[in-house]
Amino acid sequence: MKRKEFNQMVQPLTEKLFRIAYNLIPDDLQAEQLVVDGFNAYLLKEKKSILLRSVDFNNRKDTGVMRRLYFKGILKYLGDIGVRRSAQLIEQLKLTIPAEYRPFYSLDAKVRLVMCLRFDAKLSVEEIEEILSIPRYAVIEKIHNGRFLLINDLNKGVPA
Amino acid sequence: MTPKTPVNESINYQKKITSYLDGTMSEDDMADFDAFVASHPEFEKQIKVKLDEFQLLKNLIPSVVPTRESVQSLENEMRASIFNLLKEEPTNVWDDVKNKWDDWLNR
Repeated sequence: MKRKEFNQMVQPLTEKLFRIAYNLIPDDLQAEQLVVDGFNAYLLKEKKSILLRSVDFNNRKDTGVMRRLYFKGILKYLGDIGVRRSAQLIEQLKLTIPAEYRPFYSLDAKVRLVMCLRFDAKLSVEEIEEILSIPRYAVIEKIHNGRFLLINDLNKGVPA
Repeated sequence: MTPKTPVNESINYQKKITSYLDGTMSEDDMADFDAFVASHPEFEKQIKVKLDEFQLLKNLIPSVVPTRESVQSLENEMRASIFNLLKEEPTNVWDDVKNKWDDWLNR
């Protein structure tokens, strides 16, 4: 695949990647930097396989499948860097988080990542398992914990 | 082969709920699933509860839309990364010339 084709392939993913990065680090500049760093790490590691692959842009299904493959590949690196970076930055950023999203940002960074991959990016448990390289039971456990804590927090605010 | 009883049929569709919710179900299966849901009110209620919960959780997760400037700057950064990092290593002079030509074209 040529560089121009690869660029064409990943450009539509920009917003989605930013949203996921922002869910890890709630700051515009930091989220942008996280996307760039995750993307660069992916390029450096997967350079050979990207150059070897070919794509037929006339075949929409083929293009869609390949774009999803790249999306998941980039997320692997973005997620890994983001979880570590979030642990260092989240305390400093807590005061700037809107009240309605504080319960979400009080979750562990990895749980947050799993929750947004599942409920926002709508990835399946198998895909999340592959992206994060953790066993399926760990993904399911994180989804359950996240769901329990968010809904529990929501119910706390409802008067009896 | 498992006989096709209403209970077995329902269990089969129960198993498909996850792929229905995460959008990984194929179009053929989707049509079949929708038809089953429409003809089984109990199952329809169950799906609705799941869909409502899915939506509720989605709403509790921030869905930030980046500004036009953010998107533009990210696209530029990503383009620059692609053109700087995704180069084939030149094995001869001809490859070197080809890379330089590509760089010039993609300035």
